[in-house]
Amino acid sequence: MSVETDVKTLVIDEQEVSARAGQTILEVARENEINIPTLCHLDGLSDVGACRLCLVEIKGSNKLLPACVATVQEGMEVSTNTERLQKHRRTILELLFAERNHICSVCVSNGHCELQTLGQEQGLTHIRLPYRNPELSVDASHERFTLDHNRCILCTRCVRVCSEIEGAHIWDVMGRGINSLIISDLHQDWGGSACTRCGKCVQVCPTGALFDKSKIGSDHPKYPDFLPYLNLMREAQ
Amino acid sequence: MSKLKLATVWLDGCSGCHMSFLDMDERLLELAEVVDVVYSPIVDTKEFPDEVDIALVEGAVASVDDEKKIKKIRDRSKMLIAMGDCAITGNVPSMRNPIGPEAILDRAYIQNASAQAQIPCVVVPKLLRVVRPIHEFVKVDVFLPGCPPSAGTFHTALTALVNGGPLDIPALTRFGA
Amino acid sequence: MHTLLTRICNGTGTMDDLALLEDLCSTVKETSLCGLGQTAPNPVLSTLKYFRNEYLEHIVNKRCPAGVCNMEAALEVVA
Repeated sequence: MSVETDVKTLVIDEQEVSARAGQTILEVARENEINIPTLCHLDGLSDVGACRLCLVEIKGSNKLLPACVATVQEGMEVSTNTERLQKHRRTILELLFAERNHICSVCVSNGHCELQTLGQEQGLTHIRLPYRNPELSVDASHERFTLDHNRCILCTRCVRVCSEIEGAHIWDVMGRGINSLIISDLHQDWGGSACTRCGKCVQVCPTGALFDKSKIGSDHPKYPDFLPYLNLMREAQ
Repeated sequence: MSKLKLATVWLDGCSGCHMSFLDMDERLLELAEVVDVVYSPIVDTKEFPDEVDIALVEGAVASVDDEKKIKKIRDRSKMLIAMGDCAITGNVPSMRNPIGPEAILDRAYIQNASAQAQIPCVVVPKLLRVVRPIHEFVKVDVFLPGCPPSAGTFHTALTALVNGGPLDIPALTRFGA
Repeated sequence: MHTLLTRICNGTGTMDDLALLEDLCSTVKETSLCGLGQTAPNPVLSTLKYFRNEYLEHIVNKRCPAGVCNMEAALEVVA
């Protein structure tokens, strides 16, 4: 091989693995079939390290690092599933469930929801925190899709896909903290915005916050797998 | 071995969990060999008995009456099981929380009334400002999520609890299942 | 966190609330991206460390030793 690659070796969950310099811990873990839970990460989009579910422990450091943005270092010893991490992951998921009005039983994404699935995987059977029950709106002004803020977890996947892949940048985040809200254009109705109606945001939304109006009941699986393929094809051009 | 005393309670829910419980069909006979149903919407007892071994509670706490009941049930039961999403998360009954009870009562009994528009206030218990899951009022020993939890979930969970065997609830069911 | 603290301060808190408060503080402190999140729970953690007996007094005896908290909600529950 003529191209020299900088190879790093490290240990993830007591398994010795090798990686190329610049790869993230998450990429390397998944290549080696080690599962790290994620929510804001999506293959094909940039990473923001916002959901904090992919935090991992590094031996010799007291700080927890988000695996989706932390790059591999030579000799690193990573633990992805310690008791401490599991506890934090559960609390983070509980905070997400308590923050808005997530009613799984009446949600279009019931059974296809990444938040619901993660809750089950991490062993959540109830939410210890008091529910906030905020009063939030539903934007059904778009002819094809609906945005339900009650189910939004602010992962910003829709914002990123619209900006990075579609190039329209209709979505953005308004406000801060618990008052944050996903908005279209400058906080106008989605229907009246400059939306190109491509529907990518709906496909990447991990919950039922963005959904297709033509789907009824909970028959709404989402297919975000087109992204890496699309990127690959664009690069090839 | 004397039979365990089982009670089932219906607070603010749709009774779907009870239907799913009954869906255990012939497995109910198997269960009846080890437990006695001493109180339930499907038996005739009017008062919650003094000493109950297992209490299955369906539904959220939505009124002052529900609040009194759940406290009484906790005092008189050894093991309290929250059955279904309403008891655990508030679920559909809690959808009124962001809007408040006045708006809901007004819509149901005044705006949509075809005759004698009035909000019922006699005999019916006063609604709480927000509907809350039962573990915000009393200690809950076991949580069985699902809307409703399937008959299989009930069977596996109850069999394990009665026999004291291991029980992995997240493997059986989830919110909204 | 504020809801839990309010509950403890007005005397309706439980020991579970105290444990949950500690859990929540540690999660926010350890998992936050920015320095603000990493330090925000510190005041609560400090009081839990140095004035734990006052928390317990609020929860168990429904009493505010410093005489600051209004415990009327708790008295209603007892009455």
